[in-house]
Amino acid sequence: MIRSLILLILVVALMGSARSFLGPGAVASSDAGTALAFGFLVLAAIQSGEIAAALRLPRLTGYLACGLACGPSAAGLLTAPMISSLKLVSSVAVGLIALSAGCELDLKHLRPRLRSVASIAGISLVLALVAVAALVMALSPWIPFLRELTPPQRQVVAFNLGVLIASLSPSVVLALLSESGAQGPVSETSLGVVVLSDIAVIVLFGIGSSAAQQVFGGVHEAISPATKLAIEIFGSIAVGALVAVAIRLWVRHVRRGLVLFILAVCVVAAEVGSRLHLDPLLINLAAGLILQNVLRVSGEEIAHALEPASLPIFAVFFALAGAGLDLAVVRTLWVAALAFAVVRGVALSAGALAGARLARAEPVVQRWAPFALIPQAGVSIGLAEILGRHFPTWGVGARALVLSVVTVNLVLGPVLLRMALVRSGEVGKKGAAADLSAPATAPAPTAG
Amino acid sequence: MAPVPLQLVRPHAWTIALVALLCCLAPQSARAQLVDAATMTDAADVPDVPDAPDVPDVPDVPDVPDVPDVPDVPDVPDAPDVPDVPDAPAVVDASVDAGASAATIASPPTPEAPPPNAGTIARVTLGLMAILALALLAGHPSVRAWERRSGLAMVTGSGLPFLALGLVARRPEIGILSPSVLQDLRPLLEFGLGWIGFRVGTDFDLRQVERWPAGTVRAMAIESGSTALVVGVISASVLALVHPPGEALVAANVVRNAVIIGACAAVSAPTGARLMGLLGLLEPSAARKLRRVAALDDVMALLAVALVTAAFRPINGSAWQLPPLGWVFLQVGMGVGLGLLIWVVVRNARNPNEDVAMTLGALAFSAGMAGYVGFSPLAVCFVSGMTAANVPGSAAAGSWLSRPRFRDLERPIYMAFFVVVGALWSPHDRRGWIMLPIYVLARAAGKLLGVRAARVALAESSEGALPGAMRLGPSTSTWLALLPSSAVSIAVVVSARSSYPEMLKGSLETVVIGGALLSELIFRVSARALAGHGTRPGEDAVGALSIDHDDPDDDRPTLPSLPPGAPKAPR
Repeated sequence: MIRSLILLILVVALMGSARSFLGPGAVASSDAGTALAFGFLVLAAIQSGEIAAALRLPRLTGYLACGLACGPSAAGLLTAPMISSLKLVSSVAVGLIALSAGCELDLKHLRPRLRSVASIAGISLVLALVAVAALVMALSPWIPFLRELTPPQRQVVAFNLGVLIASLSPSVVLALLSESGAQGPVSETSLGVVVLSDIAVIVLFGIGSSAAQQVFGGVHEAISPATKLAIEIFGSIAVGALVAVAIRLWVRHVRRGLVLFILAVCVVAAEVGSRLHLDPLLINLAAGLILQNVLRVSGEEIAHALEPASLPIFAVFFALAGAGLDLAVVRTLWVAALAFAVVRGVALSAGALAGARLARAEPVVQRWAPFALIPQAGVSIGLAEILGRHFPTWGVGARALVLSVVTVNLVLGPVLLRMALVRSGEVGKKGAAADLSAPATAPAPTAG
Repeated sequence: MAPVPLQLVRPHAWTIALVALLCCLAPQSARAQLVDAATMTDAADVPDVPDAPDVPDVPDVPDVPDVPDVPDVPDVPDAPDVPDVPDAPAVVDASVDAGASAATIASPPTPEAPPPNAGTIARVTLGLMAILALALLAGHPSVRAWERRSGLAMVTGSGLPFLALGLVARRPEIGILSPSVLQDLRPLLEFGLGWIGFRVGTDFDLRQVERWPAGTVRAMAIESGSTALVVGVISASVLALVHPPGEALVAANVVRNAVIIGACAAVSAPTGARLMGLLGLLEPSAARKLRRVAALDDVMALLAVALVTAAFRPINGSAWQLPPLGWVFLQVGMGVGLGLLIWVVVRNARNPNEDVAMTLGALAFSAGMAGYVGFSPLAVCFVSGMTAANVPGSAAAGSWLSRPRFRDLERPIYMAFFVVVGALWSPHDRRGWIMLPIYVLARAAGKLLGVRAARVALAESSEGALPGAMRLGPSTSTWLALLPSSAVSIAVVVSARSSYPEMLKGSLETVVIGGALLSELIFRVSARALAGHGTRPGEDAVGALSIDHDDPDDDRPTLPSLPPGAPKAPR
């Protein structure tokens, strides 16, 4: 830990000195800024993760804390343009996470749990959505951006806020499962639930934004939201099928450099997604599912191939998520954020418990699976950004509220989930290979 | 003399195809220039614009100062619970997690792009995937083996097709490498420069210097210095002559451009010396020593780049004010410091995954920091690599990035680098095409002059040279062996373009890429003429670039293995 701390201080000092170079009127190359930020985040986040692990916290919490502390709203070592320029890394990370998740979801193996997964995901999502929306409605006379709205408008806003605040985080859950090498009923159920909920949230948001457009007018668009939603979902699945076939061909005919090929595929999915309005998550999730369940490529093989890439990608991804949080907003809205976070957590947990009992899931699932629903990250943030852009009258305020709730859940969620995985006894069951802290098998280049 | 396979000296079909491509581009650019000129003088004379203009280079997005904290909004008396934050600066990336792009359901309020059709989706997906898959396949052992068998340097072997691929893929009608995709991929250039610099640096083992033949460094300095000088002086004169009327001619810029072009001209690929040795045109020991000289040429170019960025600061208004010499010291100090950092973080890696992550992160950090303060990542990372490889107790030089886990990574990085370079290359500036033949001839003349001067300096013409001292072979063979250009020349161009985006409007790429191609052609045709038509079956040229970890002491033919009974390679 001391060694990691010294290295962290060294890297931060170097970054600080580099950032002091630019005078008020000077402009650096944005490419250099991107490379600098990426390198800094890799080095600093990995050391922070080590420190967190030494403190018995998830490494992911260390990555998040590093990003939060160095981000624009705290130390300012990373600027907003730097963070924005690393969006490709974020998209690639999302792709990697989704592909891994898809490959892990062996539907044949998961079939006995499908009832539990659907039940937990459905009931918890509905319950959280209703609870949050009800809270929004109850507080609407005191929430400035809702005060001037008519009752139907308030209901639409409440629905949208309910969807955003109730959403889960597949990335955090998968990263934690990967980091801890967890395997078992809780892990499998949790993964299924968060993936299913994520798809449901995308659909619900489509409905919510469509309703908002009807009620508020919003931005006039040539294509109806329903059509856009259909294009996004089915286009993503189609591209995902292409991606799966490409990976299958590579595995069968080339094999060499599989991890680089998959990274390249994630870059393609990210670029295609951003240019054609498709969802990188859905593309890669579909690719993973098709690979595992249709094309019969071993998901374990893919996951094993991705291990070397996971560490830097996850570190940068979660550090970026931390850097993107805005402490100023949290400082302003911390009371409301806590209230919404508590209501969300209680509703999701109650829903998950009810769903698990209804489906007669194992007791260990009933007890610990609800904790997988607490973490929250970019789904809500991304969707809130869109609301802010398209409905400026109330979207900006809604975005600030969602951001503050996400901050609370992003900080607490991974800690709670790790605790649940430890208590359920599933940590490390996947084998040492998945544990990134495994002892060295090949030494660094230090020998004579 | 044993016969030599014809394919060793015959210009490869790819080379011919790419010459044809360059020729196609040249008239097009000249035509565009003519149209531009005619438009300026008499627009009515121009019937139509023949070709759609290329997508302009994506402008750099300037770094902006930190987003200031939003001041706390005071509580509104009658709204005590949830104060409104009117415009909180959410700097969060919308794609940070799953489903974020679902938000595109309500797309930005800008003019809406036409919805993607199935053909567009398939073309873009498959096109991008094909480019990246090809970049990966270029690292396949069989591709490397082909490159080695043909004796081609990377820049004219597997590199040039990727440059062409980038050039074609960015055209609007192809639409695969759009400006937004390129903008996303541009940081790869910075990283690639850092990688190449670090690679050259780690190959430079100071502990081995005293084992080199006496006079090696002197021969390199004279040979490459003469080339840089000749090419630099001629380039400066030509650039001054073809300077567009109406634009002010800044003497400092001419000098800067000339130094950079001279640095590009100085570097040679070791493949030439190796091939000449195998052809019997150079004695094996002379060929081996010459390869060392060719590999060291890279250092000369990197030093020139370092001096240019110190003397001609690309960033104005920085908070640090230093004299040019101070910038030089700072550059060296930064390189040493970052080299030590890389050494420390990699030494502390606890497993292979962390080793890879930390090495890549430290390289990106070094390259980014160099670029951020206006230095060349190539030069700073060269010093870093040299430092990391020469720290007491460090691994033997050259072993850092040649370990298997990095070896698989290296070629795809280079190839992706070439694709991006090709996509950013704008071959429509007239000056580049005017400069190209002059550059090639001046470089050839400079190399000849350099070889002769080095021979004189090494007193090779006189008797009594010490055994083991640096000896150059016959002037013509030595000169010819130094003609092929190294990929470091492309890296120097990219570095210069990154530091000085306005520099020569894309002509530099035309000159250096075209120059590398023509030099290779001249070398191969001349070598063939000199060697006659004899062949030596079963022998391979084992060509490799210096950044391909070509070991000048290693003459072993690697692929394919010699057939039974075939004569062995001369040593």
